[in-house]
Amino acid sequence: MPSRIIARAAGAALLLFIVILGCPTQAKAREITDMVGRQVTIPDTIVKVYAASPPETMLVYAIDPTLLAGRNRPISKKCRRYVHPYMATIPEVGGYFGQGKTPNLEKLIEIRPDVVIGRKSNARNDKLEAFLAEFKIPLTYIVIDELRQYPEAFLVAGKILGRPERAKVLSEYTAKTLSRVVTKTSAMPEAEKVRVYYAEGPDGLSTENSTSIHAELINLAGGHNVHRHGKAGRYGNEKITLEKVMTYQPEVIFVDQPGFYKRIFSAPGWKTLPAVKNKRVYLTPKCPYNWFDRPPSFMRVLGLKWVADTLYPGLFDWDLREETREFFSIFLQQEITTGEAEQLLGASK
Amino acid sequence: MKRTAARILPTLRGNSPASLLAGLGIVLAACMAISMTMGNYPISYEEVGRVISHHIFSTDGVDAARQQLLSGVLFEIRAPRLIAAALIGAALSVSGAAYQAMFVNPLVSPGILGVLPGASFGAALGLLVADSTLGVQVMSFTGGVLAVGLALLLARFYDGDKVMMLILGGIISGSLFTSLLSIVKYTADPTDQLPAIVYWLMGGLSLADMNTVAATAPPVLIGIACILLMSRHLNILSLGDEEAKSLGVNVRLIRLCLIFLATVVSALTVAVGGLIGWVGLVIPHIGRMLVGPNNAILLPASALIGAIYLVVVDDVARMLLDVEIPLGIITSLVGIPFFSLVLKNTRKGWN
Repeated sequence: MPSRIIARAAGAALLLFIVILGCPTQAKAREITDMVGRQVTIPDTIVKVYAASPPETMLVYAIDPTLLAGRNRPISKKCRRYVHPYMATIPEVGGYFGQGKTPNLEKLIEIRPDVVIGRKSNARNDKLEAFLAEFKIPLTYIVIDELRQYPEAFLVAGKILGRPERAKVLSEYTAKTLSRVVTKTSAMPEAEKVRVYYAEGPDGLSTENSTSIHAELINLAGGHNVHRHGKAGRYGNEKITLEKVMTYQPEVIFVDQPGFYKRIFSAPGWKTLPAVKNKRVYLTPKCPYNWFDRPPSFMRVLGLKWVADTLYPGLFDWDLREETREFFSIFLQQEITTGEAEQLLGASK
Repeated sequence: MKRTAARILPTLRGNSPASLLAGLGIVLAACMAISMTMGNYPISYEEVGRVISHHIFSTDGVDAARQQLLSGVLFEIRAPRLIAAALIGAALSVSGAAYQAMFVNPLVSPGILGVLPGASFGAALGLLVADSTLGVQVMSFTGGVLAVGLALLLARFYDGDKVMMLILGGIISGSLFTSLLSIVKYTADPTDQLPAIVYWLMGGLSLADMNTVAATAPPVLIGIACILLMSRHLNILSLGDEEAKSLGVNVRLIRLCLIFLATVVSALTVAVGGLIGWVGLVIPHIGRMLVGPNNAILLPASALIGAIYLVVVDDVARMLLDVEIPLGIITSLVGIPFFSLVLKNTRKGWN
């Protein structure tokens, strides 16, 4: 009798022991290496992610929007229909971007992300690092200044987020797009390239230097960025004079702001430029996020095709509407019609 | 340096005011003519001469296509900018000189009543909501007038030394609009709207085209002319309120008129060229060094010197580097050291 009780008790104890063991008291952790070579320990399963500025947030968005726990910016009203509905349900935390903006740190703690994705190029990184270390939130860096870094960035982010298959698809698509365009454009002699000016600001007189990451698509797509002076700052937006633009004689102009696009055809001085005379002025598409720049994001994969096709119509054996539909389907998980694709592209005309 | 200045100044002051003003006018005309030949687009002097004479005297110009292009550069880009620079320089200097006389204080600038923060706020808000340059300019002007209106309202609430109260009202109103500007900046989209606001506030003339100049030149010129006509009253105001009243002058009305005029012209300058600081403060001092404190001569002299100064500064802004340097930066960098030197002699000019 007692021996049975003991046996039962022992069994119960054993069962309890097994149950306790089987219930992990804390999530298992794994170690990953981020893109700047730091070894970071992160939870096994990632459920909530916060990214420090729009380009990284959008990288996560492409992989899986439902992992995001906070936004950096409000959702654009104009293109709401192309944005994943999940984005409207998460709080706006802000981020480290654009001339000294900082996130709301208390909100950041409130959402308690499993991991934070940041970019090393930020002047305030030390602050973010120290802050996250204090609250034991792991911080991983990815590097996505240039489009050619995206294939790797997708793979690393996929590993961090636990979505390697999805990341592989995006990475391969990006690499394929780059090689398709660049193999054709890199062989062009510089003298034969189309002369391009990128007009930013309300007066069209802010621009990007040919070495700036903000005008990277022009170079990749085989354009000759006419503004080659000075050294590109990280932030860009160099002011130049209208007379300078006239000496450049651009054959194509990409315009950032709709307000200026409306004026350029009747603006004094601009009228005399070959690009304006030949109606080769294009407004950069911005739905659901900017295709060209600001923020420089994965949308530039589609943007590259658009720029290449705009500079050299007929050089590439693709139908841009179909490419747009495919991109929206793969990257943004939005099925759009050919008509909608045309509208998105047509907004630039 | 000081010795030469000491030798030159009396001779200048000894000259008749009329000939001195005529001299400044000639210098301004020369500066503007030379500036017409300066720019990033290479045009030879000969071509400039031919295009201009073709327009005025219908002589043979260059060939038709080139003629059209050069006319575009000269008359649609350079000329409006030059005119805008001259107008803004004159407007800021005259309103600065008028305020300095009115407040009996050499350290007063046109921004004393909050017109600049007000106009900046208006412009920033305009860049956020308006989609045309004209809209931005209208809002900028409105903001400047509102800020001064608030300063006057605040000054009315308190008894005591009216000049003191006006300055206090200006400080409060200016601070308020500076904070409002910060709110606008904070809500602006950092990728495109914020840089646009920042550049606008740095000051520059890249937006000055013929339409803008045609729309703003008449009110600015009329405003300047009205202030010049009131120079005798200003002389009386600069004796102080008590003295002026004993001479039978309606101090309040005169002051209000002058504030209104100075506000309109300086708000218009912000609407055209953004924030261009240190002109309205520094130029009247140079004027006083040349012609003394009599406003009847000082105001037109300041207007001409201010115009010359800003035309030259804008040449530097356009030509010095490949990128355009915001005008407001240069006027501060030049103005501050100069002002520090002048400050020593500032009392002399008043006597």
